[in-house]
Amino acid sequence: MSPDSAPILTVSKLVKRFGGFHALDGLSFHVASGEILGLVGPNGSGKTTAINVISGLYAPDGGEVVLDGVSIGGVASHKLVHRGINRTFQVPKPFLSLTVRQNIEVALAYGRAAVAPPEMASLLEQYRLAEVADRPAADLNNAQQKMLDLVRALATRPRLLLLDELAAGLNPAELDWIAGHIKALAQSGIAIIVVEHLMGFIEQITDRVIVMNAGKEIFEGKLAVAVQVPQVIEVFLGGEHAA
Amino acid sequence: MVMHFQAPAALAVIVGGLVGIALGLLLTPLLRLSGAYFAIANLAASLAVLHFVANPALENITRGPYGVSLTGTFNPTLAYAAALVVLGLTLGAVVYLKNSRFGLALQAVREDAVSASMAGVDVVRMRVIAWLASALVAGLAGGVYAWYVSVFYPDNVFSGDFSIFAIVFALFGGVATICGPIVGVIILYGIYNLIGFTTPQYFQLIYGLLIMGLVLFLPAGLVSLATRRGWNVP
Repeated sequence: MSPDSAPILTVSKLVKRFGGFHALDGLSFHVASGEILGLVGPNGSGKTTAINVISGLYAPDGGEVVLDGVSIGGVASHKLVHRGINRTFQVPKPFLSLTVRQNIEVALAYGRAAVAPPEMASLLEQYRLAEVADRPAADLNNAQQKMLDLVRALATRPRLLLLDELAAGLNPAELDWIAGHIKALAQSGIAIIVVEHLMGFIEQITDRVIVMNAGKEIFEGKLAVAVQVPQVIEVFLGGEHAA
Repeated sequence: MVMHFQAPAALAVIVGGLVGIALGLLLTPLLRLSGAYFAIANLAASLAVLHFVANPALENITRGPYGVSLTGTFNPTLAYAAALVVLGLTLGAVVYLKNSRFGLALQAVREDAVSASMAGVDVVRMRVIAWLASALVAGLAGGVYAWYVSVFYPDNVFSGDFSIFAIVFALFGGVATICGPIVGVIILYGIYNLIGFTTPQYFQLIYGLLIMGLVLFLPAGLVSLATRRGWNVP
């Protein structure tokens, strides 16, 4: 984030419980337009839960999510889409019996009405879906379904994009290719939060990372610095490696 | 309407559709459920309506369990024509839904409600509209049926069998298509008309075998025989 840019999203002391389990336990962070923020941490640390709360799938049990100065905690997902938030899913969730084109048409028609939607042909071409545009989404491989998830999100013209393990399962060439696209999206002014386990990929694209453990932030800063912090090493590798 | 106000039967059919919508509105809280739970609650609601209508205390309004006999409106030819009109309007609406952005959004909700909401679709609104549209069609169909038979009892028309019959017809032909439910009705109701009255035990046997065969070999209905070969079924 450039020092003078105001955050588009601020998360303060966010709490989400599932029964007695605190999936988020006072998480706070912010992200600005054009910034790529990484959320990293071991499995179960609360990364996807944070994405689910910000995108309106879960209502928070405490704390606040603020978009452009307006509290959005508990607001329905489709309303958040209209305000400019969108996301991809860890396991892609296309409309399987609809064609790729129809998947995107839904988002073009029902996304943010305040701005002109992007062009279908351009989206299909950029994300290598043009050749399969008229095939049902069920026929796509996992990488293509992930791209369709991303394109469907982009079709709604988001200002804040949440990417949940978009890179998982992609080969090295595809990783470089999608990293370039994510950076270009950020340069166009979209704030991006990336949840990922691939540290090389995170290092390649993020400006800053939040390391999470047990629903809390334990580090904020550059990934290169994070990997030298004993507490971060401990949660990833175990206590005996931290010393 | 016909019984208390001597209204024309066609008007009563329209009011039947509106009453369907009103009942649908009353039951919108059921939409908080999904999947099997929604189906169970839906069947329970239809049984609740049966016992409400059949309540002897409401005999002055609904005739209670003693049934309704409409006098002066019995006209199978006109009632059949009204049924064709309702069928035509319903098919027209379905064709519109299959070819409109609104229909595409409804299909998206059916496929994955979470993804649909992330495409900007108001899932709750879509479900309510689909629910009320279904209630309208059911109300109109019920009105036409009442006109056609003119004598009916709550135990028959509000029974679970009656509702399940309609669902099985659609499933047998193939849901989410225009042709499927029509094919299902022609075949199953055709068999019912052929042997359902004369030898009901054989009808029950054939009906049961057909449903078992459908579930085991053609879960997407008869139209899937065509779609599996790559044919486009409207």
